[in-house]
Amino acid sequence: MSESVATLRLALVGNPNCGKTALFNQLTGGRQKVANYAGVTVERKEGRFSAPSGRSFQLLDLPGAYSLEAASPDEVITRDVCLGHFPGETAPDAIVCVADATNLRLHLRFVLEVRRLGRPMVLALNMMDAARRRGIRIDVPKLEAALGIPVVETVAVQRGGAADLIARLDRELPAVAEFKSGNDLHAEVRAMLADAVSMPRRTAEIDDAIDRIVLHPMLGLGLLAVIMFLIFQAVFSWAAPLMEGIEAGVAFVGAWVGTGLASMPMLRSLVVDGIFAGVGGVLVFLPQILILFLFILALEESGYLPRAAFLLDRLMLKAGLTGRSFIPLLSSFACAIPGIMATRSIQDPRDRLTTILIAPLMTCSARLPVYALLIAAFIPDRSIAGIFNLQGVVLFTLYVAGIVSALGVAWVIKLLRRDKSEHALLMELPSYRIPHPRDIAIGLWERANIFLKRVGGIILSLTIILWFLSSFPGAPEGATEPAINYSFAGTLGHWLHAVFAPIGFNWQICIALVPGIAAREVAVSSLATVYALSGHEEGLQAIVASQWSLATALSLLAWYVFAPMCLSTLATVRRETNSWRQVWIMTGYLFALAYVASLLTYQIARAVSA
Amino acid sequence: MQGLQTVLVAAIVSISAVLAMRHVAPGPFRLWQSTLARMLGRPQRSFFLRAIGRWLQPLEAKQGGCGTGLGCSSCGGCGTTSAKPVDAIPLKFRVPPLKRS
Repeated sequence: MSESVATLRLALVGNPNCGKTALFNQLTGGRQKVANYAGVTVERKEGRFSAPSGRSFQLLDLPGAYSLEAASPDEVITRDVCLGHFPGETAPDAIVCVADATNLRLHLRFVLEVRRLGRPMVLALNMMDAARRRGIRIDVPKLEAALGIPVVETVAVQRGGAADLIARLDRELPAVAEFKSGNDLHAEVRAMLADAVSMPRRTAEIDDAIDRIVLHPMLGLGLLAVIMFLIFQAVFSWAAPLMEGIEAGVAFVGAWVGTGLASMPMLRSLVVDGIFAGVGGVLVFLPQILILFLFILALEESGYLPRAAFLLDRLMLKAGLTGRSFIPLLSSFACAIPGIMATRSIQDPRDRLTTILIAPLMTCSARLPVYALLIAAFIPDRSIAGIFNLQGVVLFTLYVAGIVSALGVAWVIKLLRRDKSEHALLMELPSYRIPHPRDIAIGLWERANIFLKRVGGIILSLTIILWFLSSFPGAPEGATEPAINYSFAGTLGHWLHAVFAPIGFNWQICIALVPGIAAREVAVSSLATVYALSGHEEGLQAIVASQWSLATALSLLAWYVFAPMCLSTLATVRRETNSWRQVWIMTGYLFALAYVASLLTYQIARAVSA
Repeated sequence: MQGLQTVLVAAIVSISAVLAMRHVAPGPFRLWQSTLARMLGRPQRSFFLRAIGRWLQPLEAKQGGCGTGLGCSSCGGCGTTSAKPVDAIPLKFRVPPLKRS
């Protein structure tokens, strides 16, 4: 028998946030992103696993859906795959329908809808551990008889928590019996629950108690502000010793390698001025990025984020958005690309477009090295009122500036659009969960990997190219200025300087802006390389502090709040909007905002300091 | 020593240029890669060149950068990838007619 015949194609379906992706990871050994809120998976993912008998399975992880009558673009994928309408793909051989055992009242409705398709299926009652803790008792044989499909218990976040499911899938799945289900699926669910499930109370007591504070209109907003503020304080306060360690390590290895290459000056310059100065200049920000993600991962796991979306719904509505935009915008703090992808969970196309257009204004992690460099160089490391770190306050302000700008742009889009209708926010609030240290550690490991891959990949490549462009052609006979002034990059920098001089950028910054279009952190490595080739021996932070004025530094910070996004983001916008027009609109407005903000910042700062 | 140094620097810069090109413009890069592979893989070419052509032939499309093909590798969402075309769902608008007074 050929492999394609022997392999059973399974589709994982279910309501959002029932643990499909956690189950997918458990079964396939994958490391897809999971979090405690709805709408994390917006694409179809594929993986493989084998049962102990040797039978192999191809598993499709599909976006969560409340119904097969799709309301949002991500639900369309699930519907089309289940019905066999997805382009280039046949319908799955069997369906694994996942339901949250603590919320069967909602999730069984979708199970009944999927059952109508008549395909062989298994119901995985997930989060059984949480259900037991809450005193929920499920009579599995009774439920199995009522549904007419096999039902197994799973705990997707526990090792071996899907063993029963694998064992059940390894046996033949029965055909789904003909059921005469009426139109009122909710009534059918209620009858099943009355027969097979006993539930002490609908919601967890602890969730209700926490929500009384977290969802309070005043206390809740205050708590949100405090959490965000503390995150940025920690980014600066905790990271300093680690950053100093990395900086010293890079400098030591760079000096050692430089000594070894003393007989080959050109190669030495490439390695020391290019690779070690440039890449080392970015690598040093790893601790800050990891501390930021430590908090983001913990918040994602805890179930707090949908509450924050709920709290901010009114504010977002005033700006022409809905709370549904909150999760995509929050994802954009890591990178605008997953944020733009996550807009697929937004049903209204206009809300979706607005969210896509403002997503790059959220401060992505690639901007952090630029912010951290300039803040460390120009803002004194002292405390305010003995509690707050001034550098952390400035970083927090920059993040807030991004958020406020995004809301402002959304408000302008709202004024411009013809359809003024507003959409109420309907969002499921998940149960609170204590973040699992292992999951957080894996998440941080993944983030570190991603960052190091970028450093060793695109950042290293562009830094080497920049070193080449900054080193050739060499200085002519009798030249009096550093050789970089006569190089390709130097010439380009001097040309661009004419455009950027009004906003206070020197020609070195102008050079760094160009490769920064491919990846924003490259701006930092480029500055380090350019200054190293100009004959500066100190670290980048010391050079920047001594060579630039405060007005220039503030202007560059303002630039990076709006800075036109990287090429990958533009490609994603093109694909998600199917329009070059939107790409140009986005690039144009961001460039204009960046220039105007930098111009005002520079001119005001200069006038004040004069 | 001078010659070796020049060769090493030229090799490092060239490889970096190819890698950067693949990151920044993956679509055209794949096109050039497959064109070059086809040219080298023609039957009249020597065994050695055909082997290089086979080696150069790009694999089936992989998703990167969440399907953009750009491989931003910044979100970690690209772990399990599909060889199938990306399931893009572009925006569609139904523009309401202008109200006439």
